[in-house]
Amino acid sequence: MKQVSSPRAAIALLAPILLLLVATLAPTGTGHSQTSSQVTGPAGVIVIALTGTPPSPSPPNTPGFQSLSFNVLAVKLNPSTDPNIFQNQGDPNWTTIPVSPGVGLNNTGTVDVFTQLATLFNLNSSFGLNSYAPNPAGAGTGPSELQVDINQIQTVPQLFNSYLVPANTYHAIELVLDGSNAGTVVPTCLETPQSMLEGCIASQISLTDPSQYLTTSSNAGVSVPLNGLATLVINITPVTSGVQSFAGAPGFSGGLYQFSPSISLPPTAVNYLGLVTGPGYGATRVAAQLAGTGQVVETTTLGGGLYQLPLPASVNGTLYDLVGSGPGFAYSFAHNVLVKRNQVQTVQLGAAAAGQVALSGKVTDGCSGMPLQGATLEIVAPTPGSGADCTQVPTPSACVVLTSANTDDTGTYPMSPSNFVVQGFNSVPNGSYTMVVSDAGYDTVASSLSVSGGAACSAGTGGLCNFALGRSQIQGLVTISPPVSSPRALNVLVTAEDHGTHNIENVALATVPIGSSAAPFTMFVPEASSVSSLDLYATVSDYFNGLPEKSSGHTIAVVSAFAPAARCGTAGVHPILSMQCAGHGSIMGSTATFDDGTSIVLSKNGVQLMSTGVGPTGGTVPGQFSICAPADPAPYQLQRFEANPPAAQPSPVGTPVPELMTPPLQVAQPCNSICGTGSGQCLVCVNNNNVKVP
Amino acid sequence: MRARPRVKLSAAVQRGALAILAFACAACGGAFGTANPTAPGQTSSTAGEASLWVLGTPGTPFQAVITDNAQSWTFRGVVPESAVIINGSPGVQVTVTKLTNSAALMTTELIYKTILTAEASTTDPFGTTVVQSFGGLTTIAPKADPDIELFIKAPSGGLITGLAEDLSLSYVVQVRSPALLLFEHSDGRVDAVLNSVDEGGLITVDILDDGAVVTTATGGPRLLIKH
Repeated sequence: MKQVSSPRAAIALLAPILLLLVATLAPTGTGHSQTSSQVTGPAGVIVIALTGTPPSPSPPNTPGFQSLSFNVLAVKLNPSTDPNIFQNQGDPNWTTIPVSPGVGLNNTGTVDVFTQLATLFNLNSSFGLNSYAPNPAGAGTGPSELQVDINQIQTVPQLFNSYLVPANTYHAIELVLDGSNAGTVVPTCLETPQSMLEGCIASQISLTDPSQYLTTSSNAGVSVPLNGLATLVINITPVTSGVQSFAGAPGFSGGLYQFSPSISLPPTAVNYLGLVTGPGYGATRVAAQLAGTGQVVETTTLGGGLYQLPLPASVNGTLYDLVGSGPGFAYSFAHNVLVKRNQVQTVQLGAAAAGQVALSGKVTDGCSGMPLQGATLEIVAPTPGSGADCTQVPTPSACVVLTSANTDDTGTYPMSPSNFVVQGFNSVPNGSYTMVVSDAGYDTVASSLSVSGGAACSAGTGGLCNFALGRSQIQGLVTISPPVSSPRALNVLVTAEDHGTHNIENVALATVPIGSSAAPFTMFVPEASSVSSLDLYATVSDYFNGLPEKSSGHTIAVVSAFAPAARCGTAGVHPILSMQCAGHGSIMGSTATFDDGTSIVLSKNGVQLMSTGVGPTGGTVPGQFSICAPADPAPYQLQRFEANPPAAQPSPVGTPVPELMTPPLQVAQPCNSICGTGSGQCLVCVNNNNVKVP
Repeated sequence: MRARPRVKLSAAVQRGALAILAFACAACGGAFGTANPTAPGQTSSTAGEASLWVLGTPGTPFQAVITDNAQSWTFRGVVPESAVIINGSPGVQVTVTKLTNSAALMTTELIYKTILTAEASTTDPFGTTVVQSFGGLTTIAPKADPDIELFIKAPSGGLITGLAEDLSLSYVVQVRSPALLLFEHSDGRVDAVLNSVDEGGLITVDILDDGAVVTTATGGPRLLIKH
């Protein structure tokens, strides 16, 4: 799927969506994440999504940003047109929409439900405290925030929440950040290393305006119709023209990066959502999942026989799977529904009456018999007419996940007593399906599942739906050079992935003590009959200024084409993964051919280590990417991958290009360094710019 | 929240804490006190607790390694889940790794008493987050021994309050379910009384000893369990 910009079409299609979204609707399934008791009187539902515009790199002052995250507490709305209303946070007409509460807080029996995938706990319900301020209720509770990475939401908006609010037209809009920790940024290395600022380390964000409230006004306002649905997309601009020309770099490595974030409402012609609606006969709940992944983005209940799902969409549109379910009926589903911005799409979902059963069982280690906690079970079915065999592993993309569950501490599924996942397994309609059972480090089992008054699984123990997953084991060694020095031991994360892919099977953590240079590790991986060959790589979790960093300063050790053992066995070869202190480095570049499914993959000796997306068409950094990686003296390979649909497993399409990192600068102490070489000097990373990836 | 918190609490919270303590005291002569054949009781207040929230995309499996200055725990779970160290030592570091190749969001929040001290997010396949208290730790402490844990299963996000104790110490806890209570240096015998505050319904609690379930109780909205 390539870039097809169609602003005219979008504008032309604006009218119908506005008519549908803004006009008063009959009561439909556009419920909310909070109980309706918080709103008295006429009300409607507002769906809020966040998008952003990352700053363009501006050498030598502003580096690229591998991540740029703001910590969002809430969105506030006020119908006032008074520009001074923002100075009166105590105005009773402010409506506060906190981050979405956890799924399961919804009262499914009495109110409509509308939840999003990135749901977080909300702490406002226990003692009537302010819903977005730090909650002083007690240990085990605290403020709940949504960290939004501007780099990620620039392509597809992030749903924030849906909420029942008084039916009104809101002119004043606020985005509330965490006042004590507004966000975190990971810059690439500066292109002027003479600044001696270390890059690829996490720094906290400070705000030019210390207020935690980002505000904007709208003359037209956002109208929330009575019993209807409205959408609100808030665009976050981290560096505001007129306030800053570029982000303010800190005076020392690890210091605060200063930003001047502001918010705006995108022009109405450039809404970021599309609407899927239609009748859902037999369904009381419809879930939208990223196509082919089972990853739920939104759910809604039906009202008046109709469902409505405003869904985030990229410029080219985003593919979703829709699944309808309801008591006494079979599943209804649609595969690869292309949701485009500003478009309304009608998808009919209809199901026949069917008896239902509650499905439960256990998942255990097929070697030790121990229960497996956190295993995932998915009930899937092929798209009609696709001919897909869902009992294949990996699951064909034409198979749709109808519902899923996880195991608890006893290996029992569904996890009791209830949440939205469990509800699905408590009422599985009669029919024939495939049950896919997976857990990190274990063989994935795809079993035929027959439901008819009871349930039978062909690959289950004794035909029942209890599963014993096979696995093998790898025992190896990680080494670090020079030996780990005081004051901290270093953790090493060892990763096993399918050979030649970035499909990770499992990870293991090893700790190298102070004064030592080696530590053993043990990791479960699928048996040889499931995965014939693995790639292993190991990454050191380094510290800078005493804080753990995501980007390692040690080289990444790789072992390619490692053969796992047979079921329950231990691999005869014990891999040794050796890492040396090399310092940080970063790569900034671009690709000329890109779309929503484009990613740039960094490899070493054929082992895929990491990947990153590229900026979207129409954005501030179209086709551009930035990667932090150790300044390995051996070359990496960079290659363009494409995924279609974007959420699917990507495949290589471009020619790999070698990338030899510029060595970091060495500066005399006293200084801070991501790691020590033993030379008594510190390392300051250097950027590798203008890398072209075909 | 601990039995005698240093933080200034709102009146409502104080009332809630007093109510819990009152209930606990009322139980001292029965389930918790000298008349209790398991003997826990006569407990005193101790330091505040560190807790971890693993949030984001519901159903995302993860593995967590929690360590403080004295002991460590490794466990698996599914988003959302919270964990609290009971009787913890100063300093906490938490390493959480997603156990899926999806782009699901996982956010870890480290909370000391009521203060959000650190947070980190990832959407990477098998992405890892590391959060720590101020100053961090020098290494991962030895595995807890005995490793006594309470796993509270109740509606996702439901508020659970209660009192957990071993033979010598008691702790008022307030968590969102599902939740894992990790006992540090417990003397092997623990009990707890738990209340489902806002969701009602059943609570199921497992007591695990070195990863194996040794006691299970189901009830609610108030539940008593002991081992």
